[in-house]
Amino acid sequence: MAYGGEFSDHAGEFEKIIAAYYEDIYKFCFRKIRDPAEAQDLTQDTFIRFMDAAGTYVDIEKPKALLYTIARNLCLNWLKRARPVSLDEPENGIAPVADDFSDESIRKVYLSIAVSALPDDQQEILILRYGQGLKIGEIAEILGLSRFQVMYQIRSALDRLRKNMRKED
Amino acid sequence: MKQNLKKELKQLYSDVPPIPDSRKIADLMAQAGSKAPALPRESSLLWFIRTQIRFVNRKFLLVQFLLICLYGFLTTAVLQDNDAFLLLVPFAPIAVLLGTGEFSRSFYCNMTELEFPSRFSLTQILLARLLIAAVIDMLSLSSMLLFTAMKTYLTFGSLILYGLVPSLLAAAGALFLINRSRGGDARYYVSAYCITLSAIGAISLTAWPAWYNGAATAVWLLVLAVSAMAFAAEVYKLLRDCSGWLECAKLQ
Repeated sequence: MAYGGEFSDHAGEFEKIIAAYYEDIYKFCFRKIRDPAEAQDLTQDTFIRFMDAAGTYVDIEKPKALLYTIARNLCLNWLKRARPVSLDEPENGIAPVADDFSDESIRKVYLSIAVSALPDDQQEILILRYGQGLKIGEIAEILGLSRFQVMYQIRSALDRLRKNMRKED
Repeated sequence: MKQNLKKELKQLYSDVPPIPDSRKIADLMAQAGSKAPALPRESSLLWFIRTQIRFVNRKFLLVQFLLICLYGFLTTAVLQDNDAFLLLVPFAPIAVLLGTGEFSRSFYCNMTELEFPSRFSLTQILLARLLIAAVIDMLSLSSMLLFTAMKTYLTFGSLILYGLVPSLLAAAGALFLINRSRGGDARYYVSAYCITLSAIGAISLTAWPAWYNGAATAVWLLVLAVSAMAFAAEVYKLLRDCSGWLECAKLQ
């Protein structure tokens, strides 16, 4: 039940939210779908849906969780419709890039391959935690999990990555 | 090793190309500006209670007002001086009955499920309605007491007792019935109870006049205390059950 009661004149409220979160949401969408143009379209869509839903959202003064939730759902829908171009390209991960043969670059490639091999939900949590810099509580709210579950998934993902990286070494 | 891995992950995720088209951001900002009025600022319970008043049925307020007017007319223009208080005891439960209908509409209109995902919890919604109903009942009762006081020999303290006791008995009994029958039938039980109470009050004035002697004041005080405690207990039970989600909704 949305109460459209007392709205005070806070022209610019939405603009402030866009200015504060646009880049973060774009980066999140890019990390999910790996296409800059599509990522920006999804970002636009996220904010438009957010503005439409603002009247019914309980805690509108903390929009981060809602923005990420909308963006996440849009990315998932986009990924369901889109298919990878080649079998070599990872469906939901980070395309390996190696500009040179330095140890750092090679390690980066191994890491990206190892991340791509993780389950989707763990990859998503790693993006939110280390890509977006979100706190455990925020991630839990976005994904609808408990804090314990989020911490467990992070620990499990890091353990697997460490194991895989040791094999590569 | 652990910290290195976390650092490497952060570096890995930092490779993001810049936003391709900055004009789209400007378009979005323009769209945002046109969506004013923007966001609700007030979300306190007090604001919510004030908003709830707008949802109170106008007919209910009108009937309450007419009841007070009728009471005032009867006590000041029709009844003899000493008989003015005769209406107080029967009328008090009727005022409460009108309020319970407004308060419990979530249940008899089967709206409780809709109200679950609202901005405030069901507990807060019912608390707000209870508060509004209580204020209206108190105002009604106060008006009745004033009219009665104008034309009776009884002390104001006695009048308060004769008005408050039936009101609290009606309120406690109504909540008792609502708490145990959270569906469309509750309002019928409550109506029957309040009308019965009112009838008993009316009959008692002629059949048992000893109830209204000074000697019976202690009994009235005792009934007042018991009914006040019963009312508080039923309010507590209602609000406690509301936090138990589906317990409040009688699933049809």
